[in-house]
Amino acid sequence: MTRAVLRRTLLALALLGARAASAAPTGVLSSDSGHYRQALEGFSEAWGSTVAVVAAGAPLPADARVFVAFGGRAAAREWPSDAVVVACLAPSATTGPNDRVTHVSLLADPSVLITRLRGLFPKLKVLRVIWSSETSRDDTDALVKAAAERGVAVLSERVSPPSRLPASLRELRGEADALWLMPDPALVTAENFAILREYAAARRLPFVAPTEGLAERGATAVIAVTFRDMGRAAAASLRARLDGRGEAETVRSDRVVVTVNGSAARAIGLVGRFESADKVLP
Amino acid sequence: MMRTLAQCLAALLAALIAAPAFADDDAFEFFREEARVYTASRRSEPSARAPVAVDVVTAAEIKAYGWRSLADILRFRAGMDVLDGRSADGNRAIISARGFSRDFVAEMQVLVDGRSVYTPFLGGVYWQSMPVQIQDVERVEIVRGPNAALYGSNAALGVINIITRRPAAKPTGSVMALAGNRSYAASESAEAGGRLGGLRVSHSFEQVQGNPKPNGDGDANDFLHSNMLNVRGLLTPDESTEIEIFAGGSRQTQGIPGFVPVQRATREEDFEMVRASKKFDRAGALEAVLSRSALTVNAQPLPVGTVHLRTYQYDAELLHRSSWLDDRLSSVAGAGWRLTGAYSDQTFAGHPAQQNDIVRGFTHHSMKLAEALTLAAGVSLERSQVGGLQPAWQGAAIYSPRENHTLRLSYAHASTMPPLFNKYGNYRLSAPLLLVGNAELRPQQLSSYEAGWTHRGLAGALKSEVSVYHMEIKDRNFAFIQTAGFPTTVSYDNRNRALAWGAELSEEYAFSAGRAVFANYTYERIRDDKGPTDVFRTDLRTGTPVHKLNAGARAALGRGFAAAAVLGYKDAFDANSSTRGTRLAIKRSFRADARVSWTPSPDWELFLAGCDLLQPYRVEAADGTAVPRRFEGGVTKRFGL
Repeated sequence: MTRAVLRRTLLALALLGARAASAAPTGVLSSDSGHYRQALEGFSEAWGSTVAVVAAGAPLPADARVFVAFGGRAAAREWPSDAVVVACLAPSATTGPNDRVTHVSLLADPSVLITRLRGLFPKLKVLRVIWSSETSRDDTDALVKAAAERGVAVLSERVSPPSRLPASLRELRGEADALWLMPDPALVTAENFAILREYAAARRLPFVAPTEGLAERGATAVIAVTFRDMGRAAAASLRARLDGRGEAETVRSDRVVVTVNGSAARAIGLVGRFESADKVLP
Repeated sequence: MMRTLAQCLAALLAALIAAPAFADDDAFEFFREEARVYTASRRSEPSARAPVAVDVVTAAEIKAYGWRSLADILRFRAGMDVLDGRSADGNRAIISARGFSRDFVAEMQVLVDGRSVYTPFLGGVYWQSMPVQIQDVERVEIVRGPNAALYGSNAALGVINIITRRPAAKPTGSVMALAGNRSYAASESAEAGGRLGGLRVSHSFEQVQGNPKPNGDGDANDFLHSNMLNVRGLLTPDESTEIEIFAGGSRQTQGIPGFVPVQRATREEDFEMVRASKKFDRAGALEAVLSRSALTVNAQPLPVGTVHLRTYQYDAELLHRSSWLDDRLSSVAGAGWRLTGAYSDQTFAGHPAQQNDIVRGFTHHSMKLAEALTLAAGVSLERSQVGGLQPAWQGAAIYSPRENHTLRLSYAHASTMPPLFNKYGNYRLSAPLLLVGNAELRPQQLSSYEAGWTHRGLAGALKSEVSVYHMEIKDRNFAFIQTAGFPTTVSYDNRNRALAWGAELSEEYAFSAGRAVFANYTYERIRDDKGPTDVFRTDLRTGTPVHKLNAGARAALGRGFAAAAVLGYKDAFDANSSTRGTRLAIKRSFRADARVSWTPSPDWELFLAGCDLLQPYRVEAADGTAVPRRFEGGVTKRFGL
């Protein structure tokens, strides 16, 4: 009897331990770059504890079943068949029909984006959205839908291949009140950014960029989810998955930071205090 | 003066360096890292890799440096040869690429919004009368090296594509007034637009005293009174269709320096163009262009009497662009017809109307064979009255062994049609000299081998480019004395052959938006069979500076102030004027330009600019003038911001 109770107790403890081991997330980093580290810090803050980390190319811990991938290289690796995975900062990865990965999009909740955009530019009626990769299509469609619901028409412009950007800009139809660059790695390069910035400046259009740091580079405004907040969103979606409330899907953060470049705004004739912005650069 | 300029440049550089650089955690680093994943996962796109050497001058650069003419825009670019020279028939700039500098450069194609402005009469471009206003220019693309497979004959040394901006979506306007020690000018523009399109009208006026005599004194009869008017309209009936209308004209009265008695000319140029394009979801885009242009020149009176000249050009072109195989293959195919001609009782005595009828088909493809390797190839077949059947072809391999590093190897073959005058001319230039064309004159044939390396570093802020080339021009036109006596008869044949080789190095670094520096170096050498025995003394071997060096910086200094400065160096060379038959040894020289502007509010700008600041005057062309030091100041007011 005593031996049976002991055996059962040991078995229960082992199962509990195994469950605890698998529920503790393991972070997989594409590289040691600062943006992935910031997202990891945001994740740890929201999760409530630090997490073990492995590099994207390293073997996964044998007992780990819960992962959070930071970056496309990490997201693209092979996962155990019973793993629960959340990926952030991985715009090239997509959610397939049999995918077990939840993706945190680089694009914030489109309804929040459009609301904040209209807060900055109250006369916004037509927004031109520039994108390139097939993996940006879903984000673009979501933005178009949210904008339409809020009375903003979207001119969706796919630039493919991205090297055609100058020619594509020359061929654009219709007139817009602002230019929005999607967070598309194939398109967001320093060279393309400069081309778009000049294109917008020549037409006195606000040029809105999707990632922190681009306001300093001359964008009129940036409406972005910070890398840290993307980590936080990853933690929330992972918790939801483990609690059985979430599926493998694309999730978006509703926390955005709005930065206005004051001199770029003045150069296109926008004056004001931009009170709806979180930060105004001089 | 050199010390002062050096101090100014040092101060500007200090301002650039002191200015905040890009954020430490570079904004593009994340996307660059993620783009590598795209490439590895084969979902990706090729990086910007051009099969030819391309340089782009943007509107921001034009504005920051205060460049006021097309010659100014091209002057400090790698591989370009720009002189402030005057031809005998009133062309006011000598612009060439990779050497071969002379009054009219038949081997270089110049396009404005896709419309060829090449004149068939003497072969080349009338830079000053071309109805393009700098205030309208959005960017200038400079393709160095042959590109005839896409642009047809006369694109052997390069193509300069001047692109004007579209009408603004909102009602806006601007007025600029400028005055200086050699000129005064004014320009105005008004534009408006909406969902269905837009319209812009722009006008500019300029009165130029012009260059002084070679000793820097007096009046060299180089005055210019110029008026230009341009209209650009845009109609977008639906999201995939676009119709654009371009029209413009210029009227100029000018002095022709270097002649006794004093010469003057009037020059009128006008054009109209309609471009319609349609995008298809899967079948690419189709574009149709119709255009017409005309130039009338009245030069009065040359020693043998007033010369009247009228040239005209009609163009029709159909172009299809498409992408296949998940964008791995990009294709362009097109066909065009051009009727171009010249009418002059004086220069084509006996047969005043000469024309050239050209039909052309072309196709160009770029195929990404592997992640790191792209092959591009194009071919053009052209039939014309002047040149007969002329094929052109080109191919390039673009290889990226590492991210941000691109190697380019290319070969091209291009022909250059002889100008109508060289083929059919009959002109008594002076009592003892008769110029007679040669109906048997054949097109020049150019073959070019080129290698290039492009690097984007520091998150794209640093752009480095190197090109080396070797060209051979066979059947090169050569002017010779056909019969000596009174008058002496001069004609042209194909007996010359030229070899040209060189290297171009270019560096650009952008500290941040509005703060950038550039430097470039050009090495050019030319050898030919005939040397200085050409009747017009155009010696190809010494006709271009061997070494050229340019450096510039522009910076937004805060509180609305901005400054820019450029310094250029040219080696000694022999300047030729093929229309004057003159040659002059030019000493090595420096040129320094600087500009300071203040923008107290978005709608006002005040500026001061100086050109050729290092010396009171400098001779750089064999045209009987010197290039003087110039100072200018002005104000721009914008409306409807």
